[in-house]
Amino acid sequence: MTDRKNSKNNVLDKDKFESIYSLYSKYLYAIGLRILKDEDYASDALQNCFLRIFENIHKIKDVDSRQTKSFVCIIMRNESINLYRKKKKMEHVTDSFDKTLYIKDENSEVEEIFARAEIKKDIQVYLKELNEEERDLIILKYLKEYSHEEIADILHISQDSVRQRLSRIRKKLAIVVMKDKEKEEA
Amino acid sequence: MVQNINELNKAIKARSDGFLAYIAQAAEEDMLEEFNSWERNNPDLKVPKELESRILNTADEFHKKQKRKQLRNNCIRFLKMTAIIMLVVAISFSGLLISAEAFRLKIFDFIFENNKEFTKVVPVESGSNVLTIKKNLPEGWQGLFYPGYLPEGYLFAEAEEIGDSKTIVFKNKSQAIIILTQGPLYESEMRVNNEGVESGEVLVDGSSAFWTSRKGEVTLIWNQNEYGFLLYGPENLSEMIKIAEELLYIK
Repeated sequence: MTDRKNSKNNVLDKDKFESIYSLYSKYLYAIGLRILKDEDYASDALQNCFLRIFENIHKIKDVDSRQTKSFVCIIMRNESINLYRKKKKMEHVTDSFDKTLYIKDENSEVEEIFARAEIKKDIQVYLKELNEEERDLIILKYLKEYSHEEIADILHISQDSVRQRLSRIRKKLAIVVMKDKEKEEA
Repeated sequence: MVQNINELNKAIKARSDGFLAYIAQAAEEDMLEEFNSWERNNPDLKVPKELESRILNTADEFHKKQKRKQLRNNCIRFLKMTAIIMLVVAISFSGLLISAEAFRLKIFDFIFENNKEFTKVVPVESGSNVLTIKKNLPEGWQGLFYPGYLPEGYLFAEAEEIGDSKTIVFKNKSQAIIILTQGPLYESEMRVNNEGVESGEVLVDGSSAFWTSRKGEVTLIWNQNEYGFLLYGPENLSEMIKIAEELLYIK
């Protein structure tokens, strides 16, 4: 039965892929151009992006949806940034937020900070602390609710890397929350 | 006490995740808005034609590769699932332990004993049907059997060669598959795991054949002119026998 389902999926996958292509290729190409500022690089990134989409096509349920749009956008952004680094031979400067060192690398502590946090009206306070890749990661983890394994698959990085980056993001945001609280108390 | 702590931790985690989901949602809105506006501001932007065909071709190749891989996996898994040792593998099983015999049915004997009573073979050499059949099959495939009858809606889908055996797959619109595997018959003993399935013997064109049925999927095994055959499909036994009895020989 599973085999039959797989066969059926194969056919559907191709149709789905073509729908995704016609709906988002222009949009994704625009993302590549914006990040890479070069048509050749953007073309390479777009090609890689669609391969990655094909590999993860089973994760896409409704092609014409906000969910899918942000999903393919994250993949394209990721591919573009990777290509940019590769081409420019630039090393990724992970983060210079040294204060993160002062927070224990334990989820429970960070979770408590978030649990006590009050949602700010100005969400940009949090967002500005995160770079594009970090934003993509929290979208995939906390909004789309993908597992570490799935995120690693989508972004083509290791599961350890996903864990480490998420931990860093949580710590960064925890510092913002703590600072905010300190201000209020003062 | 421990339960209370667990509950508390769960609540903390849920609230923490909720907070991060709220930030994630804002990040997503930001991202989409940014790219939407960029797209709006560049209305004439087009994906180069050459790039478009490159991507679609790559996707096509990727898709074909996936299908081939899937077919291979299907065949292998299918054979494993039914626990039938392929008719084409020349390995003698005579030394197998007898202890498991209660659960296994030895089928080689009746196949071998009936070997002299060759079933009817209808050679086909010409006609538009044969041309279509040959067109479907991989280059170099000849001297093989092909169904002259298939239940309504089934069409040729794939052909694959594993070792000496040839497998042809037919699919209908709802993606149900019928698989015909054939290969030279060696004087090896085959055993079929008989657990969890209905099984029995039937006649295929006057020769004994062995069938198993599990969850509506029937497997039929028989021999014909020193060829071993395995036919699998989600059809009833009489329909499967009809397919088996109407095999055409393609020279």
